[in-house]
Amino acid sequence: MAKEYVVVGRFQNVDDTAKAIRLVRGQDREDFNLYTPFPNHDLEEVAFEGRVRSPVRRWTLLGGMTGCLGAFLMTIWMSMDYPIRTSAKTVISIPAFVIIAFECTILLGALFTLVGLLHHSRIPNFFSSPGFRGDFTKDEFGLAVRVSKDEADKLKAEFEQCGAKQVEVQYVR
Amino acid sequence: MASWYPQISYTKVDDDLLEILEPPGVGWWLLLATALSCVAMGGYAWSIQVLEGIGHAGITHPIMWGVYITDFVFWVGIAHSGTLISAVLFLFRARWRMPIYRIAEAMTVFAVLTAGLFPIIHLGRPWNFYWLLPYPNQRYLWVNFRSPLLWDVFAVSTYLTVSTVFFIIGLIPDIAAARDRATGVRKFLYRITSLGWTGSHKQWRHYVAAYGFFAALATPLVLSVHSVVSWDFAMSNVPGWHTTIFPPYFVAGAIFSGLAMVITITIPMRKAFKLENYLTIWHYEKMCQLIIFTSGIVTYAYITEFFIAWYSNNPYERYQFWFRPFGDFNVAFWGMVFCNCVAPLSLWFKKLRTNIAWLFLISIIINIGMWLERFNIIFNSLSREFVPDAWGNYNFSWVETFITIGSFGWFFMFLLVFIKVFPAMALTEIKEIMIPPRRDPASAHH
Repeated sequence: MAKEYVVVGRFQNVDDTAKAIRLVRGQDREDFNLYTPFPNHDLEEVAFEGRVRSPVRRWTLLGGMTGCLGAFLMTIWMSMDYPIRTSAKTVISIPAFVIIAFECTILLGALFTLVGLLHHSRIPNFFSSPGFRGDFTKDEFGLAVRVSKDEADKLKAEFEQCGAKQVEVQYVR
Repeated sequence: MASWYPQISYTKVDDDLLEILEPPGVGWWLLLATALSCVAMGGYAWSIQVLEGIGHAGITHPIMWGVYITDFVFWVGIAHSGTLISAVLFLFRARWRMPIYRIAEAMTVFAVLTAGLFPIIHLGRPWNFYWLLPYPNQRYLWVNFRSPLLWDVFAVSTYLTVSTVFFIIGLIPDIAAARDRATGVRKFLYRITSLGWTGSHKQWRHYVAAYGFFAALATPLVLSVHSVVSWDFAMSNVPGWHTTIFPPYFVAGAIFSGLAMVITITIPMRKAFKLENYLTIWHYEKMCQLIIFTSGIVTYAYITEFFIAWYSNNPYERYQFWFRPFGDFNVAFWGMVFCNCVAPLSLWFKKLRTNIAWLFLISIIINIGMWLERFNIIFNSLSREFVPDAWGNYNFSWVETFITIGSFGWFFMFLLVFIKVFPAMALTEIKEIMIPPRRDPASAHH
């Protein structure tokens, strides 16, 4: 059955939010979003139980290696293509090129990290996210779960039992 | 106070810190008008130099690196403590960085933007500045990768890019918070610039990981950039420049001057926007501790330079370090010693380092001292190299003075606009270090 509704629980403290997340995870629901005004380790642990670390680190490694290798190739090739012979220094002066390679490692590492972050976080996204409320960037914790119509009322009652300040059911499709 | 956790609600944090974005008052407009006037002065002077030639600047043989390179090194130095506060202290989990790191990062970006102008202004034909970049051209020329000046191009442009990315990424959750409270044009602006951030757990997971990597990349970068700037000097054999102590000496000096600039900027902000609950005396004491530490390193480096000049038995080095305190520019030398070594000693006294007016004064003195330090390094060494027939002196021109004043206007123009357009204090991080709300408050922990 198509999941057409989002049940949005609005919580005011970490414990109630964690209880609601455990409830949702206990029901084998993976299609949920937890909104918090700031990263909170306690809630992260509950929400990401058994999940892998962020793949952004692979982008950083790839960017850094690309920058380092690219810079060495660039400096060596350009120095051979247009040799500037000064003070008996070798044309391919690796110690000098290490500085360029270092800077390019950092530069591309950072730029690739940025790309990885945007890609995995699904931003920019200028469409409204179902279940998101403005207060979730201010002082509330929100838990939004996509459900079918039959499940919505039951989940709403369960969120209220967990201590939600308010529970909203929103039709999304 | 052993630590600092604001005992206020999240709503209050938003109310207090987003109030900075309210329409500006007369004071802000006056400051902006002053900054723009300085920019106009600098722009006018530079246009004269471009139209009529570099001869309008006082630089002449033997002092071919004059005020412009002094200004360049000064502004790169100012940039550094922004990265120190945002990245290095983040890795050390120093909580006292939270209320000041955003303004310090903004300072970094705007200071590098200012610094980057000076090598171009210094060029005789500034419209050819892109010749510094390795780009394919019809003459089949490539740049000289062995030149420290080219290392500078890579280091400073990398620093500008990475610190800008770091700055913008840090801003995104706070812009989203501002978006959810704004109306009208501001709401539209924040919708675009927050990139649709919602603060979902999936976004935070990647954000926290990426932020850590940015900090880990920025930390060695900040050390490398001022080291590379110091190699502009140290890789030559000019007396007073050719020394291995330059990289750590420059990095410590940069952090020293940057922290002083953070104090110079935040004290009026604290007063104007009533931020006493967020920028407490405890925060200023922490900055003072770092200032005392870096002032000690700088003082030690000055003494080491003199000792090595004497110990080396090299007549050119020995003469150079006699010329600094007793030669033509001795006022700059003693001014530097007073501002960087003597004046910061007052911060050892708790009564003085907790006095905001005194701190403001000391921060300005330190910045004057750090400008004089770069002046000493450049002017003294170039005016007394090896052959007495090649010695010479220097006269400031009005063009250089106007451009230097213009650079301060340029920097403060960006800063003033920034604090009125985007959140200048990190809401998210301040909320993060507060004790989170619990059903049973007794179970709260950190």
